[in-house]
Amino acid sequence: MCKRKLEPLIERYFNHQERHLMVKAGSLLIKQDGYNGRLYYVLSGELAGFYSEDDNRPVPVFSASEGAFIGVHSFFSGTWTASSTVVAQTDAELAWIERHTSVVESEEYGSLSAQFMPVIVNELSRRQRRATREALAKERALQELYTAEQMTTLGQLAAGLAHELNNAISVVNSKSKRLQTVIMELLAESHPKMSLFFEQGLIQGQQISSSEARKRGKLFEKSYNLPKDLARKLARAMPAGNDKANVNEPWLKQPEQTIRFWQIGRDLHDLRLAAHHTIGIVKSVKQLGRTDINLDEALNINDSVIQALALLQSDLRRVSVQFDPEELPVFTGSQTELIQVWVNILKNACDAMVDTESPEIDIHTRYNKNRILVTIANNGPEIDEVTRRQIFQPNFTTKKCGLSFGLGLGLSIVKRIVAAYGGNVAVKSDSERTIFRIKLPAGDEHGQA
Amino acid sequence: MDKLNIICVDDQQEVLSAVLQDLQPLAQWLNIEECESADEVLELIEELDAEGEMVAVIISDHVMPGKTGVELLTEIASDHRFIQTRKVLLTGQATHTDTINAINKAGIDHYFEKPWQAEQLIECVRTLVTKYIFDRGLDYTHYQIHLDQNVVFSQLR
Amino acid sequence: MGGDKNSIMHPYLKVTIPLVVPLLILLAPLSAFPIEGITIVQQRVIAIFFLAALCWVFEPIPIYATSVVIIVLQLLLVSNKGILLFRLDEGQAHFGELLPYNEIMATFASPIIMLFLGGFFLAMAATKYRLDINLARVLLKPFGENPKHVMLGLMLITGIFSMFMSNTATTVMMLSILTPVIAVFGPQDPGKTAFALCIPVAANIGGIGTPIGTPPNAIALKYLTGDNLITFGEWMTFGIPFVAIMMTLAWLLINALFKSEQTKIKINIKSRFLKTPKAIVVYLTFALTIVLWLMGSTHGMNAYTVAMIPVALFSITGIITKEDLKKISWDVLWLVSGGIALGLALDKTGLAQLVVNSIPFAQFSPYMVLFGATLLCLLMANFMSHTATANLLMPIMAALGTSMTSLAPLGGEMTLILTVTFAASLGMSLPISTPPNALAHATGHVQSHQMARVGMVLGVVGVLLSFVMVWILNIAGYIR
Repeated sequence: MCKRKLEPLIERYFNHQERHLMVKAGSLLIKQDGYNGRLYYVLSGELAGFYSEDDNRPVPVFSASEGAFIGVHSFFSGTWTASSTVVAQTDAELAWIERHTSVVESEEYGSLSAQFMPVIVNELSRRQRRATREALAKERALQELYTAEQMTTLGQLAAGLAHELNNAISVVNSKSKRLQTVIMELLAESHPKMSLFFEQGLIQGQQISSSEARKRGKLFEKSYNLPKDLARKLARAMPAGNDKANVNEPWLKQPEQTIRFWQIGRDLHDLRLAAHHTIGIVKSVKQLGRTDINLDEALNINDSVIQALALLQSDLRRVSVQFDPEELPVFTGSQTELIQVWVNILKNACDAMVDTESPEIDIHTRYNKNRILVTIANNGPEIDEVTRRQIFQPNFTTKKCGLSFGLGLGLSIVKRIVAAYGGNVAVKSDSERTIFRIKLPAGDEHGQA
Repeated sequence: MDKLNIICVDDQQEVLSAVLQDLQPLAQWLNIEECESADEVLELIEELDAEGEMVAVIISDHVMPGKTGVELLTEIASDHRFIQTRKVLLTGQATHTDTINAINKAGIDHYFEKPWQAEQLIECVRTLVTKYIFDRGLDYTHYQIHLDQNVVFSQLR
Repeated sequence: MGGDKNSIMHPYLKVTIPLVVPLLILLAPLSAFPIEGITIVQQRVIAIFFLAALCWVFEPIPIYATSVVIIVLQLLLVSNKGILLFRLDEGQAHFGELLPYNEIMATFASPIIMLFLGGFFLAMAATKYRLDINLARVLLKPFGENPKHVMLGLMLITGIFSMFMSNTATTVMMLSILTPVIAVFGPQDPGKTAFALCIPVAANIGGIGTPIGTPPNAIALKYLTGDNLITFGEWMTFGIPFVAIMMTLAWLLINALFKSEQTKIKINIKSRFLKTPKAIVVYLTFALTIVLWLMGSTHGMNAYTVAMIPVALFSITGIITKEDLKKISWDVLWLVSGGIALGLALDKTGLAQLVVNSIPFAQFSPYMVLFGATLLCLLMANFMSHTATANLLMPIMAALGTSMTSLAPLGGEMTLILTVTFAASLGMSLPISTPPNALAHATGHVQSHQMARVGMVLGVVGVLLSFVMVWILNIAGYIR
């Protein structure tokens, strides 16, 4: 539209062979703050304008191609001074007018500036738009910086916490180990008969479920003629599977005593289990909070998934998780980053499934044609089209209520990390399943470790 | 003398057995039951109720596979047969919203954060059982020495 | 109760009228009464009667308190152990005969009261051991999911329960079962109204079925003695068909007026029959008591004696504990006691007979008397407590029935008492008519005018039906 309006103007002023000019690629057309008395019209080729302040590196401010005007500001403002440096990017053909170029048909169309009014306004609005765009970009950059800082702080906090926890749990772990040895020694000396029951508790813990214990307790109550409480305790302690009297005979001789020792054993068993568990979690947290990301660890992706699952243990408690790993080649990258990818996807899945009847997560890893494929599927609610399109954008979040808010960073981090490895992430969702597919290049691109 | 039941629910057996062990001092006058899931509790109370036994207190974890603790306690709170049953939430992972629901919908009587202190847990159960006995109009004299005397006095006044 | 009617009147008048009117009667000279041969004791009884009537109508004090006032005033003013000042003229002809104090006090433990106590024990044990809710669950099953059928089922169950439990307790239980069901109806669905309304209607009607169904029945039983004796089982032989017909009519009426838009409803009652020894004792005792009641006097025990069996059994077995004893509705028992005391005074002082004789009822058409009395009762029952209505009217009806010879072909005293008793239970057109109505109204699903429409139709039809019933009984030669 605009161009068509300008056509007669071009015809009138830029159609004179004597005012045509060829410039070679790379040659300077106008120098910033230098004198410029011409208004150029680009007939063909590509030019770019640069602006520099105090001898800093020049910043590109515009590019001009066929149909664009150059030098509008200096020509019409009457300063005759160029606001930027213009360099030809390719060989280009230009037409020009000068301050002395005679006005054509001034009776009909008015003065030169009146005739060029559309060109001037166009230029003004173009500059205005550019300024706005730049302001927005700056704002976004600041925001990103801010969130990045937030994440770093959180990570450091987590790392500090993990360190403290680690010290504490190491003490628990080693002391409980020590206690175990001491108790075993003591028992061997003083109650050699009872050490069997202690060991039973220590090694196996309580194996039968509460409902089984209830059932079995009732049975014992009747068949061995025991008080309810004792029968229940025995039901919990005795190895499962054999309820015949002869097998249980050693247990029944002094039930109160045997249960006591079995319980000591089981408590130590639980203690060590809990300590072990804590150590695992602390390790994962430490890794997540690490700031020195080592990008060339040789690692197994399956392990990173397992670590992520351990980290989310409490969120996943009500979810049934299926992990189906395939033998994968060694992957070179950062364990921390990968765990972060899985944690973010899994955490989102958990949050999405709060209202799901029987929440499930299926994780598969596959290796095919030099690519590692990880699919994480959940049976949560469908992600609608609009959300799906925005899902990997930073600052997009659907979690806005209560204390469990979202920063809207999780999946954007996933995208960034996966992209950095040369992989990609995609999401598919219908009413039954929502599937995240992560493809990572294996071997060649990153090199075998 | 009616046998009163206390039911503890936690999906982690280690935690469950720890709670149970802490409650042992109450075992001489109360029957303490354990469950590993909300559904098991619902089944158990159904069974106990059919046998004419009474469920005085339910101590539940919150985050469990299947029904959560708050869902379980809400369901029990709306069951006319267990109106007087006292409810305790024992959890480390309830969010703000969960806690609000626990109070508003499930009408819990006490909230314990993990890790808990055994003495406090026992005291709490003792108080709640005492209140239950008076709510149900049971003869408190059968249990008198075990009860929370402050509650007894305030009820008798 | 009473919100609506009380607002009509100035609260000040509500207290002064019941005080001033009896006081004027008490202070008037004997000659002021247009009754030949009235004594001072009778004058005092008239004052007490007016006090009772006005207090029950205006309710300046709770209705059971009125009963207590009646008994205490009788002890003070007309008993042989009353205040000395009030019996200085004792022995003189114009003073009249004083009542023995122990007879007045005994009204607190009259057989009628014991019958009700037995009923309370049964109902309480049934609730405690969930017999009621379990029966409701089992009985509702065959009615499927069609709202029309479910409603019939609910009404039948409510009716049956209210024959043995208090109408109020039955309504409370059934409404609590219904609340989740009503919640699924659309906001404008008339089905909501239908379901909320069917319960109090069924409870009120169901109460007619047995002597312990509602206090007016028991009060009536008090006056049906000697030749007119009606046993528990006999009452049920005509009470239950009456209830069945009324229930069907009510069901059709409510269904026609408030058609449910919901096509399917499901009532989910979570419960199981208890199988503990105590629960079984409750089941057996319940069954035994009812069977003994139904057997009439073939075993030598009357209904009152039988009623004491559950009281004893439940107390022995600890099914009803001392805590439960505190929950007995003593107010209902005392309300009835007051009525019995009032009747006693009217009868024993000869006042009732005197009044009936001094009004030339013999000249009136027996039909007019029958219709008039019944309609008066229906009207009163709509505005005040059914029990209070029966308390006031029954002694007069008894006297009228015996003295009015022209009534004899229609069935005499028994006809009059039965129709009036039934009318007392049929007053249910206002939220204030009965506690069940008030409960249903409070759910917010039933408007007063909807209740009035159903209540008035059923009241008038019910009264007419009761005439048909006594007519049939008369023809069958049952009423002598």
